[in-house]
Amino acid sequence: MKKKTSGYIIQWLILSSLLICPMYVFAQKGKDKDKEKTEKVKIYQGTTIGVGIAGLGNYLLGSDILTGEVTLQANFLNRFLPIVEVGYGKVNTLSDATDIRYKTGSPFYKVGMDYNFFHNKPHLPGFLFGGLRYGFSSFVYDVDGPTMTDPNYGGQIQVPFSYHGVNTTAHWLEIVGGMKVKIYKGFCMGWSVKYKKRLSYTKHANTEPWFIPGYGENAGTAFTLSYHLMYNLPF
Amino acid sequence: MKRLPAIFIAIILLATFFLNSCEGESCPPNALAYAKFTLVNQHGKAVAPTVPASIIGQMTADVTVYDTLDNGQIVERIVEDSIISDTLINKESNMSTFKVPLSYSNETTIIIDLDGVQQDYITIKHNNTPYFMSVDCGTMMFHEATEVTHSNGIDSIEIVNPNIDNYEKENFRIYYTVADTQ
Repeated sequence: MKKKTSGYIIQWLILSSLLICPMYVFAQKGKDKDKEKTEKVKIYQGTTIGVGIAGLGNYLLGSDILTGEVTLQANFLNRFLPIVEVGYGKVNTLSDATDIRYKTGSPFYKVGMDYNFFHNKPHLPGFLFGGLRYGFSSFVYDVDGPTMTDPNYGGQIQVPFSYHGVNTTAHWLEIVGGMKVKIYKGFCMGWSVKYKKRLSYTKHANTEPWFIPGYGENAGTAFTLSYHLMYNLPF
Repeated sequence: MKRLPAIFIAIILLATFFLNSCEGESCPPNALAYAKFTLVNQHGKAVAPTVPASIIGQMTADVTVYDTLDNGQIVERIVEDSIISDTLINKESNMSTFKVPLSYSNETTIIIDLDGVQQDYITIKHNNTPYFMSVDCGTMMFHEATEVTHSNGIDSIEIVNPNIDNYEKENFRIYYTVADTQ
């Protein structure tokens, strides 16, 4: 049910972003274009700070998973946008079906760069971008499950299942595509779709991580959606 | 360039529906770990008993029993090293392979009962590993066979793959001497 709710939220966020798209069509044309061509492009064009709010929204609406992040992104030549992301992901969930509790909470880090596909159209109120990220998280998790009873041989032997403080490190790559739009003065908003590819993670004799902060559920690949509010710093 | 917004909207709509359909989980095909045995002759060719075969699993454990005394009082008592038997396969014909669960004990004995005519014993020493993969899949018990012995009716047993988990594969190969037929 929670998954469905988060799905609807994602749909709503994406579809609400579509309202911004006509801005591309009706944006001012012509008069600025010639001017842009003749102006010399500055190398450093500013820095943007942003916060990811989709994960926080999900959590407030009842999800067991909380993910939040702060981004710092520079702009060079209005084309290359190196980015650093620092975030925190946590989960404390108890499965109704299996009665297993999984708990973790830890920071995660990402570095990468975006490319502005509309770099030669600075008169537009927004742009489309694509990029790459490298992410990693070093975290500790706890797993508690019901006592395991041998389903055969009379069920005579029982084994408790509880592993706490399991140390793990995970690394992954992200391919990012999205849009960013100015909304008011220095404020912007945008969303991005991320295709994630897990590179490695630490396995232990008895457990493997189910949730990786910053990556999500531990699968070989994953899709996630981010929704950001940003502010262009005045320097 | 003028078509970009339309293309972009189409991509967004597709991505929206695709993302929702992507939510899935991948649990292993079997929740239980089975040890798989293959019966072969001295030439390594698959053979099957000519009579129906049953597979009985045995282990020893300390079992708690409750005795009722003459005065009606119920007393708890632990019987150490009790043998616990479980019929895992009952009278199956033409059985050239079989798979059975091992016990949570460190030693499991598998008895191949050839319709009461012959009983072959296979004793497997194994380590047990409780394992967690996902909250959706539950916990699982994996085994690693470390040693196997057998009774005289069997020529030899080869440990083909000592890891017994929820991916089905041949773990043990049981060699019988079978008279060659013309």
